[in-house]
Amino acid sequence: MPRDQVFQGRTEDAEAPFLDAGFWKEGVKVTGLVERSWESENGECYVLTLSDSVTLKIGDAETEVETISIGNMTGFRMAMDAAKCKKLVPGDYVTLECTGIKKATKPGHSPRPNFDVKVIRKPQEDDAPY
Amino acid sequence: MNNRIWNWQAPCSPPRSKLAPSPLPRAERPSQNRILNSRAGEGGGRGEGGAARSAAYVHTIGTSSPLPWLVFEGTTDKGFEMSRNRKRKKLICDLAHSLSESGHTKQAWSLLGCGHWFQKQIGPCGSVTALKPMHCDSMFCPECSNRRSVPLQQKILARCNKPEKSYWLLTVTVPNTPALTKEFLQGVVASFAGLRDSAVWSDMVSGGFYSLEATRNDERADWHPHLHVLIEVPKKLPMDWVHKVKAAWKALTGAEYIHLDSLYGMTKDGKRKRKINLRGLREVVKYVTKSAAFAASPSLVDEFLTAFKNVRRIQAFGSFFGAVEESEKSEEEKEKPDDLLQCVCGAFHRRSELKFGFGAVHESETVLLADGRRQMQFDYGGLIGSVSESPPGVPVLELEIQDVSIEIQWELSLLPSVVLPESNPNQTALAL
Repeated sequence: MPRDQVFQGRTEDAEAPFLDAGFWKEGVKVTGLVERSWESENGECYVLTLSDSVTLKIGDAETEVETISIGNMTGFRMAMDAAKCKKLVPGDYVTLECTGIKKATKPGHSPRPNFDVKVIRKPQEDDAPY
Repeated sequence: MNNRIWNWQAPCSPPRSKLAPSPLPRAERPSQNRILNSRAGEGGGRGEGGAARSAAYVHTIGTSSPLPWLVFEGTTDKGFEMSRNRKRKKLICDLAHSLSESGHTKQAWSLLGCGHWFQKQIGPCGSVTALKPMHCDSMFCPECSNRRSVPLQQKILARCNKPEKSYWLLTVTVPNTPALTKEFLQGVVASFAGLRDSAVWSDMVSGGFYSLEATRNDERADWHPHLHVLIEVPKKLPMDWVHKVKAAWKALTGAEYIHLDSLYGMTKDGKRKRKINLRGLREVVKYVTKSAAFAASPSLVDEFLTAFKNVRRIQAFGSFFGAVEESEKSEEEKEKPDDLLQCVCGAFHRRSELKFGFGAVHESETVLLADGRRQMQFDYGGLIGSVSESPPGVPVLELEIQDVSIEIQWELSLLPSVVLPESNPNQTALAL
């Protein structure tokens, strides 16, 4: 008789705060491994496990986090477009560096952080020509 | 099979010398040895009942190698540029299709080929000395608009320098119209001329510059003609002046909306900068037709073209009078007849000596040099066709093979856990 499979998980383990526009300043660089992706109303987002943890202000307290989410920013999507990388896949090693903040030209819009993105991907067996 | 051939790289991957080191710990990397062993057929499998012995390392270079890691790199600025170019190309394609459908086939072809074709300029020696780009000068072409507006901006900037004056941007509108006609546009221009003749205007404004524009409102399905005006006024402009202008404009056209904006940039403290706000100036002299809202509709494109035919879209008045004509002249005078141009024959010819050649040259037949000049591509086909024997290139090829084999060996030495074989020139040559 096959045994029943049991899956367990905690919300706290899966939560990953977004690195929002307030976090990014020129020269700030994060590096991490893509853990998973999920669809949001602003497009595809990715959860990264960082090689060096970052300090974020969550609520009133400053918290050091190792797992973060990215992907909800236009600057990031444009950089991915320029890199000709349609989407990130789990296992990708991503380096994201902020190259500057572009001020909003229209009132009511938020400033746009610009990025230099580098994705290193493990080759798949399907990549071989034969 | 050789390593060089097997080791296929994805088109997006960089040259091997630029590959980044593996980011994962060594234990998690795709083991090169594992791949090598399995290919060598030395490893124990299930058939051995779990008593697999560790396979001896077999050097199998030339038959197996891990695939390289793929590296994608890009910046937001580059992505923005790509996105803008994509939109621009789509707009031009839409416009060309609409122009073609509405009977303006020649304009459609000109728009599509703008900047891609060159006119030959032949020197006294008989060879092509220079290539002159052929522009479409269409009111829809972003390239041509930009080319025409830049010298005009410079001319106007040079004129906005009187210390006793200040410069302002005025946007003057009229009620939207469902149909855009030449008569309507001429009426708007005539109304604005009437405003300029009024005492309210002439007491304050010493000169300026206006551009006529019409944008399409898709939701309301109507046109929005308006004027962007740059005005030169005394240093201290009375606060109520704009209200008096509004009243005068309302009496002329029935429209109330007039917006006055400073042409100067503002500091963080809200103080006026000395420098002129170039973004605002560009708005006045941009020449660009905002056609994205109606580009896909042949009937609307035709309506716009017919309405704006022989209607001056940019005009100076008062102290600025003559600025447009001067800028157009300066564009033509940029190519001075006394300029010396070096010909392919080695001699220098004056620009005035050149004659236009027959036929046009496509961009693909030319090459852009590092210094920004463009020249015809070398006619390899003609050269090979003119000699009776095959080109004497064999010794060169041998030299290249030697160079490449040295390069391969150097690159392989960078790879971890790969032992290089002794140099075998035959094997290297085979790989190539």
